Amino acid sequence: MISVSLNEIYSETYKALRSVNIEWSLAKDCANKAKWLAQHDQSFLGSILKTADFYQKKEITISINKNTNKKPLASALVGLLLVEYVSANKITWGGYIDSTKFLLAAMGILAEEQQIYLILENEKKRHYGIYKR
Amino acid sequence: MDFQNSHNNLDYNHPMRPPSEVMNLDRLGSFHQTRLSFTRRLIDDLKFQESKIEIHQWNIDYNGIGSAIIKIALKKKTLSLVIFCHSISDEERTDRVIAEKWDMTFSLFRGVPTKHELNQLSKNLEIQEAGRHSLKQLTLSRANKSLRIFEKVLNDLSVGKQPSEKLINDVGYLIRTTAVYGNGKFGIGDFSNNEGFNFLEKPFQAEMLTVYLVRYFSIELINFLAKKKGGKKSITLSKHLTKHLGVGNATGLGMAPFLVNHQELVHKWIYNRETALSRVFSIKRLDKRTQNKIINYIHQALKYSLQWKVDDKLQSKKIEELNLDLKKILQSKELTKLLNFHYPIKRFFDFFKDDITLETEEMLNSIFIEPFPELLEDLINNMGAEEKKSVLIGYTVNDILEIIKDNFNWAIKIDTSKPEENYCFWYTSQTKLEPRLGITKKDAGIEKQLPFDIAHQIKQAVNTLNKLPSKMTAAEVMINHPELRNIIKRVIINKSMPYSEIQNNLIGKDMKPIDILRCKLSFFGASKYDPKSNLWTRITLFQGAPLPNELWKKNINDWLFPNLLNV
Repeated sequence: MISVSLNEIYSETYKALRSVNIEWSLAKDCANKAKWLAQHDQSFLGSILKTADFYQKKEITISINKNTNKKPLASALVGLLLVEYVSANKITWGGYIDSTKFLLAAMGILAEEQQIYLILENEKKRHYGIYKR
Repeated sequence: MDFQNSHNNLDYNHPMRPPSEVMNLDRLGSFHQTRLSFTRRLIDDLKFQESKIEIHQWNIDYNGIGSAIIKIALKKKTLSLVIFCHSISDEERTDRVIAEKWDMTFSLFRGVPTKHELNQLSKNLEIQEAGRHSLKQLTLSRANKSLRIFEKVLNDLSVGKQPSEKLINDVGYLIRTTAVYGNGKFGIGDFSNNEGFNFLEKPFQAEMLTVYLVRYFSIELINFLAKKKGGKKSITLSKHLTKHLGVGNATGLGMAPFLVNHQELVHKWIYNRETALSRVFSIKRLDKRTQNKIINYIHQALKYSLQWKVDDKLQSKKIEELNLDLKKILQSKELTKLLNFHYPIKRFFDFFKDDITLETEEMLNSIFIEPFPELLEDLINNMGAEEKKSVLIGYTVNDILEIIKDNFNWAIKIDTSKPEENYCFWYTSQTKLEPRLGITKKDAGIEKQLPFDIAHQIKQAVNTLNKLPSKMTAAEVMINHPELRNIIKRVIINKSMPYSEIQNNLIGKDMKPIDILRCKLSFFGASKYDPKSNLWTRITLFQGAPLPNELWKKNINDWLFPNLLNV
């Protein structure tokens, strides 16, 4: 169990991402996902630092259309946007993703708040899903 | 149940005031404490919890330096306020958030700290934000003595004299907090982990409890020091003066963003307040006792207002007008007749509304709510809100444009190209992470501005949305235009929570942050707003509130608009 305050996780994450000029709402989304991961005993700090670093070096993208293996989609930043988009448009989306745990956090948030359950599948067809207990 | 105060006495639903009437800063900046305010609710909760408040440990010397623990035993749990008093020079004493030294530092603690925990707290509370804090700490706070009053009261008591009523009334507190942090800030415990402390889950209850215990401590301290100084000659502060002492607070811009950032919560507070008003305006008849109660509250409000002295010219003018309005109402021959009519509160308000200021209107609204706690119980206990992290799906471009047309006309009407509508910008200071206001043409850093330019964002959104297919989902818009996520989320929230948005340009020249602060402080239950500029104000909390040894008494929570002097 991570014994630090969730409020502090939110504000420090938000601050770190704003310091590299990441859009307000994306920084907030990421901070909420970091909180969700902490609440579920998952580590996240290294991924936040990497995300900030990769974003500055343009080694990740926030585009759902232009992601590649070398420049994957930053799920720490747009994970929540992506799951909202997939749910709202009722589609299956495929692409290259960085820091998958943030996408799972986004799925968790959507499941809790809007009772929408999505499945994440990797190239080996392994499923990861968040369901109601 | 008394018929007066029951829902049976309401036979129509008086329409609530629309957000366009309520959510502008002139009105929000005229709000006063009501029965819904958090200080009032804390007193109810403490009574319900059969709270026992006592000094658990007192290691303060005759100079007022040392530590103390105040223990509060609730029905099932125990909390404590841990206090450290420090020695600082007058020059080091400042209300500003950038201060690094204070007369006193505090923390509300789950349980009673062990020796080891107390040792840790002694090292870390003194340095506040810079300290390493424990998850058992629910709040983190500090305060300074009031230079205007502390020594004077101490000297008087030590020679066996009660201080002057005028002095107590003019200042209203012995010490003034300069920050009360809660809910996980700077590494203290999150409120979401309040297992067994259910009543602390309501908004700001831990912070209010801290301030209430700080008030108790300030009174114990002055009596203790007077005895140390004067020995047998000394006396303790009289009960009626003690009760009129609250805790001062200096509040600056730090509080302002809260009302912008917490849409759901703001909606809930204002919606509940408006619902309360709608209910009392729907009351069909008032018995004589309740009519008299209302008239007495107006007398009380006038006394309070006559004793409300501030240096700020604009607020002084408002207080003068308030005095005149209240006198006019009390002298009116129609007053008792109006309260005897059907729908008396509505009739009363309609009769006077065109001749009174906003300050008076909102003071009357606080009075109208006051006699009817039973009508408000569900509202009082439901002032919290769950804030969603995701954006509700199911909206299209067309839906968003329709909501903007219906709910954001105030924003569309603002000519955002004018320099006066781009006069300032909000940013966060690097050192203390405190919100600040910059002047666009003067100060650097606009590229780091906080997204509080709601009217501007609305216009930007409309421009973009008008070029997109009307059936495109809002989610698709946001993933392709992340810069619109903030405003689209706000618009969607506003659809179901129409009191969630302040309807003013928050970066315009006419905007006064003090109005935002006053709105929030009214929900805290503050009194005696004393603006020191457009950017900060002093206030008093718990002035007139029952003392810990009175919490068991009947009707103990009737302390709206406290006053001390016969004026």
